Amino acid sequence: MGETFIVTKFLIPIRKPQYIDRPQLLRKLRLGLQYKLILISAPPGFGKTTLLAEWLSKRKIPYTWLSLDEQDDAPVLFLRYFIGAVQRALPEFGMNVMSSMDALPQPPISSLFAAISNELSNCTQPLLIVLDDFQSIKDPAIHHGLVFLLDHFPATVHLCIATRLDPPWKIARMRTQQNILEIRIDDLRFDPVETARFLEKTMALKLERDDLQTLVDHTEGWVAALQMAANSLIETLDAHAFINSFAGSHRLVVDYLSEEVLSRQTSATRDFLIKTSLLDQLNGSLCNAFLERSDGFEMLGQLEKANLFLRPIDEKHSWFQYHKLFQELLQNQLELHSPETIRKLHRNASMWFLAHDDPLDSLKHAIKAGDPGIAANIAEQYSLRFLDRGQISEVSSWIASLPSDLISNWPWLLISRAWVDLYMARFDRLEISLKLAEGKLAVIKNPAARERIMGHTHAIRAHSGLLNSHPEESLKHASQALALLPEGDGMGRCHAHIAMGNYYRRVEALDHSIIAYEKAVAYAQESRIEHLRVLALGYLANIHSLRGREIDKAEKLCRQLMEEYPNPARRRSLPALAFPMASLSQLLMNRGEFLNALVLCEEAVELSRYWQHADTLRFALTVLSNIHICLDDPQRAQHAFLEARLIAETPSAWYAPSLTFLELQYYLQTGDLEPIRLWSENLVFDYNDIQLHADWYILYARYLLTIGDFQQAIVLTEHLIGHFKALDIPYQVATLLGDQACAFYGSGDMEKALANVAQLVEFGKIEQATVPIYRKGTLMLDLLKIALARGIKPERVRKLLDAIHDLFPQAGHSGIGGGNYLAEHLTSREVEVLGLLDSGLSSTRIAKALSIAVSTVRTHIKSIYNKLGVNHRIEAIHKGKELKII
Amino acid sequence: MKEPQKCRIRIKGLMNHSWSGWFENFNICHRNGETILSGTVPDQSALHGLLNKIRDLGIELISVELHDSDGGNHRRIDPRGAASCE
Repeated sequence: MGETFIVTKFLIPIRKPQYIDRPQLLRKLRLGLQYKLILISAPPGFGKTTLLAEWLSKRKIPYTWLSLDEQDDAPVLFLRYFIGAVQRALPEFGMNVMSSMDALPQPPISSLFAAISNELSNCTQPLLIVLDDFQSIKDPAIHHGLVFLLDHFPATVHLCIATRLDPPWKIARMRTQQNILEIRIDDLRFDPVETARFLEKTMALKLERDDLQTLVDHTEGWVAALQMAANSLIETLDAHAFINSFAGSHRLVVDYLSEEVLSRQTSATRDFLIKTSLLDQLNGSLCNAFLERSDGFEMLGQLEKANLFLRPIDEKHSWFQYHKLFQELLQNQLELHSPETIRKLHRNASMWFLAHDDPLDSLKHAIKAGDPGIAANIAEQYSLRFLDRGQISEVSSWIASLPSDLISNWPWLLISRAWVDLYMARFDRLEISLKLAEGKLAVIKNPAARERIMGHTHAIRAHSGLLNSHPEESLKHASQALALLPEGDGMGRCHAHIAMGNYYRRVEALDHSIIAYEKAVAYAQESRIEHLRVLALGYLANIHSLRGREIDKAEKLCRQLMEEYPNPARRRSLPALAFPMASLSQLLMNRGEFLNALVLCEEAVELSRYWQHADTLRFALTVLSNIHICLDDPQRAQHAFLEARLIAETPSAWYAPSLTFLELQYYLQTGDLEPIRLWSENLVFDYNDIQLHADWYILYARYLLTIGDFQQAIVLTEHLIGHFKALDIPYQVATLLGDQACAFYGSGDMEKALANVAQLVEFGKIEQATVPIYRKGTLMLDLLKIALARGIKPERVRKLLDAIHDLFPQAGHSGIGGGNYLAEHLTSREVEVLGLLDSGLSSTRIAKALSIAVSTVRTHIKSIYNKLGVNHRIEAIHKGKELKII
Repeated sequence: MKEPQKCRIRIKGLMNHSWSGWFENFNICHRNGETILSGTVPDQSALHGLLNKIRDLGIELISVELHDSDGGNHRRIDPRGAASCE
């Protein structure tokens, strides 16, 4: 998810100029820095926030401030804001935790808190973390996490909580351990001296001592009540009479005083106050639209001046909010006196926020307006708009914020949720949403609208269908989607084509796949759905590089996209770029530009994390893991692989290899063969289904090669080569020819091996395959050298060898390359024969010495020559010594 | 608690009847300088919401009593101590 914060939550509230000093409390707070926790607990209107703001403005200790509200009562959101707040003091703080929160699947909350605790424990500078309005937090996971943090705070870090009610922590234990400083209601009550100063400073009021005492007694030092009393006193001629009537009434303080305050306002002001209490934040323009009047700005200015519980929340004094307590009193008045206007007012607010591109607030009011139709309309509009832009994390959190009964009643919201689940690979929930949406179809009267919804359900199933055991279902869904969706529905049509492309790719009908992706690109371009254009182009490039005939074209496609978005900040606005970037990175890796590939791939990983598109992330991580293997950094390779594997635990429709495949491929590359051996025990070959399992067979062929089962490897690669030749996928043909060449060589058939090499180097862009060929191991390297020595296609072979030597200088050091590997493949009898050759014996003498036939000796010698790539006895002896075989 | 329960809340000070709507349409009556709010709450979380409102208005709570709808089984929650059965 993007780090978009509501910044005002990090700002300490603006202090009122007429604040009165409370030295005793400030002294007490200063002592607070000896404790881990400062708890300020009292009902609203006792001046908790003001006291803290005052203290922090005077003390020069580094602090961070976070004002919480009900919406933060979810662990991940809370943590985001918590880290965001701490980052304002320590800019580097929590970066890793932040990105691990974006990982899929998300790590458990407790481990996120543990990671934060670790980082905090390195904090050597003093830091005070203030959480205001903490009563909004009820989630037990957050409470557990914070208690854990507190237990592990270093001495320099302190937590301060301002709240209306005590958190459910073991406060008593903290008290006995002297870990807590508490400031409670009795500490916060104003005494007569403070009250006198308060009245004088805020309202220029001076009271007789008796009146003052009466007022303090009856308000019990509650500053909100004092403020209300002052508002009335300023209007009254006889302060004494007012105070006494108030004291004598036995009415609830807040009840009595609020009525007094309101009754003293003009009817216009009163009306304004009461109605605007429905707004959690106000500005002039909003008030005008809300009340259908034009003096909003002036009214707000007046109210602020009159100290009517209105405080600015930005420096420019354009946005305000009421003190919570006062807002609640006003709301009661509204419900009492004009309940009939409430719905209309909410509707006005909803419209204003909608016009000002604030869908969340707009929706909040639409829901309160009691008009699910309007609410759903807004919600649907925005969901689709976010989806069109590919803003997965936005639409995901947007949908999460909607009431679930709203979602399950509105088909477009269900469809949107299903898309998001598809993008984020949450397949378990997908069908539920689709079925519910289909259930709502009957109530939709307009047949075109109905068809469009059905079209989307088919487009989604065209993707998810690839997961089933009948992938051809996916093709049916895609065609149905295209039949139902109107021309104008770019997103739906584009997805249907992409799904088709994915299907054809899966069954290796690459020509069809290319056509489908090209159509998707065209639709995306036409309807300006940029993220799908990028994604489809990425898939297209991927197919071109997979097939290998037009690797240049693939690279060109990717590079063009990157050029359209040259700087990283702009790329962040279109995170779908991660897919073509990862594709390009894979191309670069294959021809050995490891460092370029790495830089690109790391950005692709970061972008896809940010985007939350599960498949792109997994693809990018797999490429990253391979790059690290090439760079001989097994630890990082494993790290990337493990993350990719975690994501792969949820199967995916877009990018197909299954978890087991990824895993085995990784093990093969790192030389850990046991898991593959176990897997292969159950393998049954049926070359008829090679089309569906080609990837697996390639994997197995390479395993056979690694364990030296050359005969079986030859047979298997023969089938695979035939398969890919028929499909016209030269890249695969070339790399498989290499595999088979190694198998021939290993089994002693030098001629066939070299014939394969001759074919393989004819592959158009041989340097594009440098790395896959090099990674076939030292056998391959030796073969190439032998081919060179024998003058087989010397130019092409040299080109390939040069490319390999450029990339892997170590490959050339031991003369014939990995000679030791080769030596292992001389049989013990061959080594014996070689030794006897060295002592100058003829073939006949050797045959006698070993009690075997002369013809057998000749076969051995031929095989030795082949394996060592020599033509003469002297050369063989020389090489044998060089390789320390003899 | 599954059935809606009858609830009686005693608070210090006299509360205007205009607050009835604010407090879940509870009935408001006065006795000896105290206010008694009585009505039904659908469940515990509604009750806690109500008590939060009272706290947020700075009102002093004296006692909360719950009755089962059939009239039997009194439960009394005293803010100064643990819940006790009468």
